[in-house]
Amino acid sequence: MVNEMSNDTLIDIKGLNLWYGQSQALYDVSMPVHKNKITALIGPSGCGKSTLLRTINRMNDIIDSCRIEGDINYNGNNIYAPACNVMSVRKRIGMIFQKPNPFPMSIYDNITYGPKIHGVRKKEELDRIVEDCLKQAVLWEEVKDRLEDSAMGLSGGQQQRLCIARALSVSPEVILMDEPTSALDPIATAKIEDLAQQLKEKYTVVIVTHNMQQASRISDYTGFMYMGKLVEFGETDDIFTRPTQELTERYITGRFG
Amino acid sequence: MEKADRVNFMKRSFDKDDLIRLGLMAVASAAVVIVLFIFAFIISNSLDSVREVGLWDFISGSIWRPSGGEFGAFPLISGTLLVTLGALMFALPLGLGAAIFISEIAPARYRNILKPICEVFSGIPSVVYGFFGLMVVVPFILNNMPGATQGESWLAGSFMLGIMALPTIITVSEDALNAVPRSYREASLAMGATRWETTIKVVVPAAVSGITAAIILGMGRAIGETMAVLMVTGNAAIVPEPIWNMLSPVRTLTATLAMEMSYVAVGSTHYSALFFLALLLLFIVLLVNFLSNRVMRRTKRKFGCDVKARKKALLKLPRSRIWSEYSHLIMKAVFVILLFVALDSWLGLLYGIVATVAVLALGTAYSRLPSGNRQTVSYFMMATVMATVILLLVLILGHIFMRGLPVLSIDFLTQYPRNAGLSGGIYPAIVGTLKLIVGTMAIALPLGIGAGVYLGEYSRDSRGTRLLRAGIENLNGTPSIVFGLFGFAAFVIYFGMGYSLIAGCLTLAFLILPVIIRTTEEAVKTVPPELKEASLALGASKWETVTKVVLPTAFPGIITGSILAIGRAAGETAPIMFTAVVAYQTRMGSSLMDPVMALPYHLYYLATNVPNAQDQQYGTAVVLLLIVMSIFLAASLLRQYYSKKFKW
Repeated sequence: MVNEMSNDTLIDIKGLNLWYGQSQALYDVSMPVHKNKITALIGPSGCGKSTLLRTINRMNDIIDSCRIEGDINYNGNNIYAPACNVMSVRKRIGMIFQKPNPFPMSIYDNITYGPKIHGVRKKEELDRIVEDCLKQAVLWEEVKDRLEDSAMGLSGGQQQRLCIARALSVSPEVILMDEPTSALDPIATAKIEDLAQQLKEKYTVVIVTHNMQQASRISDYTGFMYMGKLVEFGETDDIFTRPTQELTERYITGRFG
Repeated sequence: MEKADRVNFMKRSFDKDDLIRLGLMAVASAAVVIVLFIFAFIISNSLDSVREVGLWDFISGSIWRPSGGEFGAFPLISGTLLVTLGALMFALPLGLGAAIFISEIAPARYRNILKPICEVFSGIPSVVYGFFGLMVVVPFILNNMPGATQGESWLAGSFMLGIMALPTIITVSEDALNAVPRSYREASLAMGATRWETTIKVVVPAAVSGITAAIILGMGRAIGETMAVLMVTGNAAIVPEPIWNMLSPVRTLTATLAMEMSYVAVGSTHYSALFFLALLLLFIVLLVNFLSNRVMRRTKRKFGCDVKARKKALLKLPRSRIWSEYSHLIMKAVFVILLFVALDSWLGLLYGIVATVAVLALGTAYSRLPSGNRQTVSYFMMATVMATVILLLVLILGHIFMRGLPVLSIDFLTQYPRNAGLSGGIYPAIVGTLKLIVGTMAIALPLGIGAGVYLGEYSRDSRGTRLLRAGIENLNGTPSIVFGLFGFAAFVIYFGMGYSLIAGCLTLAFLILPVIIRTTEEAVKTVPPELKEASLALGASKWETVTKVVLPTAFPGIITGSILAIGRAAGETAPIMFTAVVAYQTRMGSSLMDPVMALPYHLYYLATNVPNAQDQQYGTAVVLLLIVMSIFLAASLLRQYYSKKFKW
């Protein structure tokens, strides 16, 4: 086990319980997220990994029946504190969704949506952000001549990279990815995986994935979840080569899941 | 920049988002208040007469003679029910046949033309139907039906209402047929069934609850209809003698309200009695709405994702086998009775027997055909029904345009009427109608869109919201004449606005408010949740997400829905006839408190009071049709434009 209070811990989840109405979805989850690393969450469908991911930028707030206990400290402050401004949390902790979800607007407008919301007005500044983010998302070369075209005309893989560029546009510190490649073909998946590797130099990434090979390929830390509980958390190499829990071993060797 | 990069822990306890949510909630609550106000107003006004006459005597009394102080509403209730039942007789076979043809038989590219064509029926204002009935159907009955002493009759009313119920029945049942999963059809076809067998034995039974809802909705439309029945049923407050005599004049609840509101003394027992009639009407319509909602909900469950409910629903399917086994017998019996009824004599019975034998023979022949030929025959029959429906539309529009178009001239459009409408133009009526449209929009759009956004985006499923939804639902089915009555009593009398533009606009706005609220809510709800999440995940606030993502995406739906509602308001007569309009103006008023002329009412007035002004009548009808149809055309063009522009 890694020391949970090591200095590079950016987000610290402590004793998190979550209910949807009457049914409990997360049981006493505690876990660190390390700065400039990729943390993967794996586990069978319905184990709560997406739910856990969505608690980190409070996206569960929009579900009416959802109730949460416990703390998530980000830079030392509890984001579930009553005084916390949700919008500013989400600006710092961005999210990429399972299905690419570009707005039905032009490519340019998709990227500038966030900056405009947060008060950037100058055209040159917006242009710079668009180019910069698209380059970081390795999409610039493919779309630079058609920034005014509808984003809906891009391929699935391009749309997902556009969504990543859009998330980067508000200069977040953390990027949450909720099975970002599950709707993509193998080539597009490889591109997103490469991209995730590059992103960790500047950002901290938490990725939920169904695909154990993906987790072992790209992540530095891995958490294995089962039935709403975090069964095991550690460095990816350890989890995949010397798991301490039998359940983890059975899952990664494909005996259930 | 430094500051923006930190998470902000200085959330104000009450921010702009909360303020906006409260504002929208207030707008939505206003809608509830309006609903409650309308109901409370009608109920409280009707109490006097019930107290005086007695509830049972009121409902069962057989003489309606307000001048003599006799308030027996039975002939009116029976009139309403009979006219509606008669309408179903026309609308059912035509509507279902056309729906089956469009959904199951017509090739895809014709389907996209046929459905809008059928929707044109619902764009024709009811006063135009009434006018057509008066000019064509009534004389036809008088001249061609044996034993007819007058053309204005139950039969004429039912015929017109049947046509008017067609679009509802066709569109809703076509939707239901379309919603049957393709896998059902494929399963049947894969076993060697013909397409027709698949349609009749799999698709129609699977869609039966949707079709039932369509029929009930069509009925609801017919029950609440005013102008068309008022103009063609003869309006004698009697129960037909014998009860199946379709050539007898009848009078409906709606027509009674429309006729007697114009001269009733405010505050009298008669006045209160009219409110009670409106209450009765409301009760019937609410019952019908309630039924159709229940049936609809069952359809939704059947094809929804809930596996358990689906299993249950599918187990019920075999029940329709009972129907299919006995349907021939039932149909024949109905056929005999109907013929008997229609001809009102023993001769009718004889015809009935002959016809039954013929039907039996044909039926036997049909069932002996090889299944391929059976399909050909059935397809031919459905195509005939479809052709009849289109022919009816062509007949109505063709008749009015052929007679009316030659009347149109610059003078007709720009001059004031002269000689009590016998000559001159219809300029003030055109302007009045446009004024009513603009005023109605100004009131209904902000209220309706605000409430719709609240319901679609902000509300949670609480008791308050359910009350609001139920209220809107019921307001939506309320007959327009009830709005007219309410507008008269509330705005004109109670608030002292008199016959005025503003009273008319308010009444029309209340009429279309539920439609606008619902289309807005629906449009807002179809915006994919992923888009909202994407916006929120970027740190946008709720209101920013609503204005920048949700509303632009929902805009096409909202705007087309609103335009359709406006089109409906533009053609309405009943809500404005006691609130805003006068029959004749030589000078237009300039303020909101002045009355106006309006095309629908002008047409009604000319058709019923100025018999020699045929040119003016047809001209007015054509102008009204042109205005209303161009509004609908605009809506459908917009819809097409946007569906090309946004695709996902």
